[in-house]
Amino acid sequence: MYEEIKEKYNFSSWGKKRKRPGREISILLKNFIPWEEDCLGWKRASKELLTEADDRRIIRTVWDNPEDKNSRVLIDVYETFSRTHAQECLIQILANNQLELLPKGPDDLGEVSFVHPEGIPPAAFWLRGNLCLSVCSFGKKMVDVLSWTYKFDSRMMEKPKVERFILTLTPQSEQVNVEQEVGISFSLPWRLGEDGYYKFFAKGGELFFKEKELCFRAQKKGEAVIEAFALEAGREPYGGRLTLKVE
Amino acid sequence: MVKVKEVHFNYDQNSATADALNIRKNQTIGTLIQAPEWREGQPSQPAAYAVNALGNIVRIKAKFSNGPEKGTLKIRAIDAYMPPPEPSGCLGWLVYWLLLILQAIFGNVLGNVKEKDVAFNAQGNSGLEEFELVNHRLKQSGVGIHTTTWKWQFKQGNQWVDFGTTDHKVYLVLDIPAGPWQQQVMSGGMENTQLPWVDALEVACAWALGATTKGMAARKITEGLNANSLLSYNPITFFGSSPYFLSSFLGQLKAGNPFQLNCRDCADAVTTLSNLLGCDLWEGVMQSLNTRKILGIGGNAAVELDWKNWSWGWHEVAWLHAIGQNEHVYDGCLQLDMDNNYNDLVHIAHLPIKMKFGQNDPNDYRYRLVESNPCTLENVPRRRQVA
Repeated sequence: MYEEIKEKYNFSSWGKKRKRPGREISILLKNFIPWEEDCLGWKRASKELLTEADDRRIIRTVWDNPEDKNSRVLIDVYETFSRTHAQECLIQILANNQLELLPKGPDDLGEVSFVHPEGIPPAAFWLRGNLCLSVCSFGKKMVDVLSWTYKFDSRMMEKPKVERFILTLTPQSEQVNVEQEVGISFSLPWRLGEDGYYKFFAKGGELFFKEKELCFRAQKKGEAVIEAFALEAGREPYGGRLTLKVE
Repeated sequence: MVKVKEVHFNYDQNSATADALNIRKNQTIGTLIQAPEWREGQPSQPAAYAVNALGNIVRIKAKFSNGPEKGTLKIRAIDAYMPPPEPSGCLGWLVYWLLLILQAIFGNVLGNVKEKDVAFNAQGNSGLEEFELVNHRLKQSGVGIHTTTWKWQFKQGNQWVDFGTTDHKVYLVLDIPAGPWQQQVMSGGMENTQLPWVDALEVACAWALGATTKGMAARKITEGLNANSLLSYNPITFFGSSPYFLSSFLGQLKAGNPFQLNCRDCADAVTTLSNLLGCDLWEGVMQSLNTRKILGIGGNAAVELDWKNWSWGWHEVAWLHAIGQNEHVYDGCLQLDMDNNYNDLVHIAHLPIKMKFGQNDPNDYRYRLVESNPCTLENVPRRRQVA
């Protein structure tokens, strides 16, 4: 599907960008949501969970400038099962844009990004791990959204400093073979609050979700390290770490 | 004293010829509205009627308690509305007429409940009794939102004695809602979320208030959308790919803050809200077009900068009955320039309502929209499911 759109946006080149941490470290996020501190102190006007398909959902928040009701920003976080799904998702977002062709966005925004051209309401669309993000000026007054995008992108990428490693990661098997998938259950002693989210990093393989289960597919022999973080506004971050032996 | 226990409007889920439609509050599971819509001690639930589907006789059902043990009572309900006393002075008359007009627009359409003998058992309870509505205006009023307060009475000798009042909200649509809306209460063993939503009826009936034909209803919905001061154009599809996030759209409208949408969102809104009223619209796409200067939704026709050319990969509108060159479109997303000179700064804004798609005639939608590129019609009629 969307072959014409893929060709138009040079989809085949998306995975071939210069080497950056995002390429070497697999990243996966669950329930990621922008926090007020990332949104210039603007007020969250609404939060919705929209389900597009079994393998994709949108966490939509709309942010209002408290000093100007015509300045609004809409942020859609498309959460998919994997990086591959997120790429397909970005293609669909581009296909659902009426513009004939969207310019490429800054190279340092996500794994690949696109933006609206000048003169129309600013918007940016980019990929990071299993997420596809869309940040758009949504009110009557145009809002420059690019500065917002970098805040979200860096927050997705950053590894928080953790003092308490109480996020438990339990693999189905401690020893795996290259290209073998292993399910990993994760749990905190309590349930994360409404705006809490999980962040996973892996070296030596790829993280993805299979339905609701966190999975890891090893890509090279040796040790594979998986780090997990539970984050919630106003609370200290909690972490977890798992080392797998890859044969 | 006898009491009203229940009033049922949609007592037959398989038909809407003598009773109300199957509806729900919104897409949330558990919001199905089932008879009795009015139950003693609980908030009243609304009902909706499809005017063209109704037969000559419209009925409700009601249940009573505290009646005479093993006895009968003649029971009826009448409109509790009392017109204000005739006023004095100009202002008084103005208010008087205003109240009468408001009553005519939003007041009782259910008429009165025709009297009948109701039997009570040994505990003083009645069965679920069927009553005929008399003097109702369900078939003459057009699209609307109405409230009725009934004063229930029983007959004692030659006197009617009041024993209770019930309040009811009624939505009137022109016909059984068309897709994506459905009337099957259950779907795949689950509550059907595609039953008409009260949250959507609230908007559709307000925008198309008073429409007595489907054409008028679709026109009013298109105008209602395009003229909404909260809305402005953005090429991004915010609400409408698959499914149509109607709940999100309605939520933004209700919040009352400005927001944006594109042509697909507009086509979805026009189709979905018009079809809720019984119209027969479809969403349909045209591919690849460079537009003439058009005025996007939310633009000011007097501001030259608001008239823009766009290079679009696609454009989506609502189609009447079918997609085709000789078919007609409703486009709530933009206004066309009907001025024949495209090089000057004079623009004659025109909202495309039941406009022939056509080709090169100056009255054709295509001619007024497209400057260059093929603008190929994709003959895939859609009615996106609501979520």
